[in-house]
Amino acid sequence: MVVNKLRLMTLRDIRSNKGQYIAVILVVVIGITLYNAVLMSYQNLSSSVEYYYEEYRLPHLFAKFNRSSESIVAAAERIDGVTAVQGRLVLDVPMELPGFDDKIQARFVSVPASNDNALNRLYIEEGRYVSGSFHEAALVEKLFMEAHGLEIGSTLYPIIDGKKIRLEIAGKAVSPEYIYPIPSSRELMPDYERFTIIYLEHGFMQQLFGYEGMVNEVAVRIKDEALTDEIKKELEYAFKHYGLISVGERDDQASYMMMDNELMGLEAMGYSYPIIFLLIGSIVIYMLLLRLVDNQRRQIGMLMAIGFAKRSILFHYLGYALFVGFTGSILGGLLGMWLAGGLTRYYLVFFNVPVLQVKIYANVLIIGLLMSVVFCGIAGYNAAKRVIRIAPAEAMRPAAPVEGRKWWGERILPFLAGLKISWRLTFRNMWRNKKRTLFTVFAIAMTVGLMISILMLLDSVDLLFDKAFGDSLSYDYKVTFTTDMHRSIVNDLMEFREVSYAEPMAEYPFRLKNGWRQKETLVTGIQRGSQLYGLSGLTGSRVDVPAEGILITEGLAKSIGVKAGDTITLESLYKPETEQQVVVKGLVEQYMGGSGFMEIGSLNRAMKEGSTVSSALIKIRHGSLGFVKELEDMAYVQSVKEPDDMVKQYYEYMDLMYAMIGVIVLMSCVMGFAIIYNTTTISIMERRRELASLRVMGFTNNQVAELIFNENTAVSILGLLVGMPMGRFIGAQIIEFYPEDVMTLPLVVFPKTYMIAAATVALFVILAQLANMRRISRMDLVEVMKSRE
Amino acid sequence: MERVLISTKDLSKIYHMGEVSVEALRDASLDIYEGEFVVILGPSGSGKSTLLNIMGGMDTPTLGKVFFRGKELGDLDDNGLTRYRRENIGFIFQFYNLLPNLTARENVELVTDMSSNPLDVMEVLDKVGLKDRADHFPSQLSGGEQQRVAVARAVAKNPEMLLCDEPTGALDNTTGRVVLRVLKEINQSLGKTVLVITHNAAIAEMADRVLYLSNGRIANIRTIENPIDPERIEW
Repeated sequence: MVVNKLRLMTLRDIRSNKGQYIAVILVVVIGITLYNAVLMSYQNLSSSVEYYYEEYRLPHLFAKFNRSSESIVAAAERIDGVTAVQGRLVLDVPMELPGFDDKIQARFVSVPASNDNALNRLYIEEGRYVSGSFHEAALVEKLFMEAHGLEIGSTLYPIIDGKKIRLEIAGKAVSPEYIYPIPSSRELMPDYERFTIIYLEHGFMQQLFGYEGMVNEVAVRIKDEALTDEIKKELEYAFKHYGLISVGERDDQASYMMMDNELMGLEAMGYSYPIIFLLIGSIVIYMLLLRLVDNQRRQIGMLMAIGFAKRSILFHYLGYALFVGFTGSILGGLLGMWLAGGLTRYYLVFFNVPVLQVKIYANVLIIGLLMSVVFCGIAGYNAAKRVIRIAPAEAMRPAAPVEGRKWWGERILPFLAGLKISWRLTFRNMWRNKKRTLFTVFAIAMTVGLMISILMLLDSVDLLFDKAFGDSLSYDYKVTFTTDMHRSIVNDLMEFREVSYAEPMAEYPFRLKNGWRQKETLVTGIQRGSQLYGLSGLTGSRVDVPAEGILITEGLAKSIGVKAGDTITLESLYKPETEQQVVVKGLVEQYMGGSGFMEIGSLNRAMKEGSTVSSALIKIRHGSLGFVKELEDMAYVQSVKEPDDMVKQYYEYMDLMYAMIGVIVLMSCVMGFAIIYNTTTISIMERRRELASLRVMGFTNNQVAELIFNENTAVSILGLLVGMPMGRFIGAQIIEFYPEDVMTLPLVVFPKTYMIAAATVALFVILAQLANMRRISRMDLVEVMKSRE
Repeated sequence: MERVLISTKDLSKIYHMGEVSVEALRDASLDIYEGEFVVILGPSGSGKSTLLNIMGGMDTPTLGKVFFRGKELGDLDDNGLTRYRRENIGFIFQFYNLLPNLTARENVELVTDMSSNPLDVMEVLDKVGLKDRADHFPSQLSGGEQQRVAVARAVAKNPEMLLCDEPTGALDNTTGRVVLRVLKEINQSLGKTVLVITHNAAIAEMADRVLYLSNGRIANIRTIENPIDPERIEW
C-alpha cells in the first residue's frame, strides 16, 4: 500500500505542475504521432504497391526498339529465368478533345486480347475491356477521364500519321506501369489534362498505326529479381541485330522510380523526425526531473528515514518520466493511426494504386511505444539516479549553498564584467547551471535547425526556378517537334513575321560512360553563343558550349567520377553501338532537365546523324499570341511551351511538399514553445527565493521578470547561433538525399529564412514570459522568505 | 519633539487555514519614532513577524491601518508597495538571502542601482567592516559576514527604517554581537530607525524601547533609559 502512496504523490505533483507536463507530453505526442502516421502510411503504400506490382504483373525489363518483327518475342522467351514475355506497341501521338484548346500528348499502348494473363494487367475501374474495333476501342487512364469529365462511350480524336481518327472509350483503367502518370522521368508532375495513356487491343493498334506484324517494345517478367542484370545482358545480346534501342529496368521506368523515391523518402522521414522530437522531449523531461529531485531533497531524505528502499524512491521518480512516455505514446499512437489513414489517402491523389490497403500495424505501434518509453525512461533514470547518491541525514538538511563564482568569460573579456548587474547575473546564472544551459541551447538549436532545414527547401526551390528560368532562359517559347526535323526548320520558323528570332535545340538520351561507371541522361545541344539558353559555370559566370567536347553538371560529374579534362564515352540510346569519345570541357550548374550540354553540330556527329533538331527556341514579336495557337496546330509541332509552364508544373508538384513543410514547421514550433516555456518555468521555480528577496528589496515584478527574460534571451540567441548552421547542415543532408534524377536542388539559405527562425524563437520567449508572469506576480513574499528550501 | 515615523492602528491579521482561523495579530496599535532602536520581543507564534511584514508592506492586515509618515499603506497598490519598500524600508532576515552569484559589493550594488538616493557602496561596506571582502562571493564568507552584507544591502539604499527579522537567529553569539553592533552603529551615526524582532530577551537591553508581544497582542511597552552596548550582551 505504501507504494500506492508514492504513486499518489507522483500524480499530485504532475497535477500541480500540469502546464509543464502538458508541454513535454505534447512534444512526445508529436514525435510519436509523426512516427506512426508516416510509417503506417509507408507500410500501407509499400505493401499495397508491392502487391499491385505482383498481382498485376509489372514487367521487370523493357526492351525498346524503333520497329521490329513480332518474332523477337520468341527469342526472349527462350532465355532462362524469363517467365513471361509480351511484345507491344508504345507510341505517342497528339490528340484533340472537343472543347479543350491545348494539345494533348496521348500515349497509345497495345494490350493483348485478354487481360487475364497480360503483363501490366489493367485494373478496369469502369466499363469493359477493349474489343479490338473502333466501337469500344479504348481503355483510358482514369485520372485523365476524370480531369476532362469523359465517360464510357465518349469519343477521342488522336491524330495518327496526320489523320484524325475517331475512337470510342470502352472503359476507365489504371496500369501498374502508370501509378504516377508521367510521360518520362523528365516530368515531375503529372499533367492529368495534357498527358494520358490509352490502351488498344494489340492487333487493332498495329493496323491503326501501320505496324502490322511489328512491335516496338518487349516487356519481360523474370523468375528472380536477382537475375535482372544477367537476363538484361542476354536480352541485349539476343536483340542486338533487331534494332534494339535499350533494355531498361524497373528503375528506369518513370512511375516506378517516382513511387520508389517517394517510399524511400517516407521511410527516412518516418524515423528521422520522430527521433528528433523524442530527443528533445527527453531533454525536457530530464531538466524537469532534475529540478523536482533537487526541490524534494528533504522529502527524499524523509522517505529514506522512514525506511523506503532507495530503489523504490528511484522508481518513484522514474515514474514521472514513464508517465510522460506512456501518455505521449498512447495519444501519439491514436493520433498517428488516425492521420495515417488520411495521409495514405492523400497519396492516392498523386499515385494511382487501386488495391490500396489501409491497415493498423501493431508492430509500428509497439515500436513507437518502446521508443517513447526508452527515450523518456533513459532521461528519467539519469535525472532520478541522483537520489541514490543522497544520504538520508544529509538530504534532510538544506542543500549546500550554491557556490558563486565569476566565470572565465568575465576574466577574459573585461567588458562582460562591466555590464549592468542584471546582465552579469544572467551570465553567471547560465554558467552556474551549465548543464541546463547546454541542454536548453541544444534543444533550441534543434528546433531552429529543424525549421531551417525544412524552410530552406523552399529557398532552394525558389533559387532553382530563378536559375533555371529567371536569368538563363530568355526564350519565349520552346517548340517541340513530333519527330526529328532538319535544322533548316529554324530558318522556316524565322520566316514567320511573328517570330523575331529562333535557335535550334536538340535533346537526346545518351549513356555517359567512364569505365564501369555510367549514367543515362539527356544531352542538350544548343548553338554556340546561344542568346536564348544560357549556362552558368560553377562560379556563376556565363559559359558557352565548346565547339568540341561536352559540358556536364557537377552532379553528373560526381556520379560518374570525372573532372574537367577527362574523356568520357557517349553512347546514343537511340542508336546503340554508336559510341564516341568526348572530352569534358567544363562543369556547369544546371538544376533541371538534362545534365550534358554540347554544341548542336557536335551532338549530331555523336549521333552519327545529319543536322537534326528535336525542338526550337523562339522569341516572338509583341502581341503575337494568336500565332502560338497556330503554331500548336501545325502537324509537326508536338508542344509549345513557355519556360513558365514548367515553373507552374513544379509549383504544383511542390504542393505536397508545402503541406509536409507546413506540418513539420508547425510541429517544431510547438516543440520550441514547449522547451522555452518549461525552461522559463523551471528557472523561476528554482530561484523563487532569490527572486522573492529581490521583490522584498523593492524590485518591481517587471524588473524581476527582466532577469528571467534576459536569461531566456541569451540562451535563445546561443541556440539560434548553433541552430542556424545546424539547420543548414541537416538541410544539406536532405537535399543530398533528394533523388537527383528528379531535380538537383541547390544548397542555399536565404537570410529571410534565418530571420523567420529568429523571429519565431523571439516570439516564443515572449509568450513563455507572459505565460509565466503570474508565477512572478503571485509569489507569496512572506512564505518564500520564511521557508528554507 | 520626536516625530512618528510609522504607526499602526488596531491591526488584526487572521489566517484562514482550511476550517481553522488563526488570529496572528489582534488590535495592535503602536507608534515608532524617527531614529529609534526598537526591539519587539515575544515567543514564536506571538505575531512578531506578521507585525513586521505588515509594517514593511510585504503583507496586508485583515483589519486596521498602517500609516507611514501619516500616509496610509492600505491605499497603495502592488506597485505602490513595491516603491514603498524600495524607498523606505531595508529588510534583514534570519537567512541572509544574498544572491549567490553576486559578490558582496555586487549584492549591494544591485540595490543602489535602482534607488534614487543611495549611499556609497564602499563606505557602507566599510561601515559593516567588510571593505576588504567586497569582492568575495557569499559562499566565501562566514554566516556573520553574510549577514553583515545583508545589512549593508539594506542600508545602502538609504531607507528610513531597517526591519530586522531575527537577524542573529542563525548566528553564534560572537558573530551575532558583531551584527548587532553594526545595526546600532547605523542607528546612531546615520540616524536610521531600526526595528529588530527576536525571541532573545537579552538583545532587548540594547534598545531604546522594547515591545512585548504575546498571543498576537501588544502586552507591554518598556522604555529603556540607558541602553547597553551590544558588546555586553550575553546569551
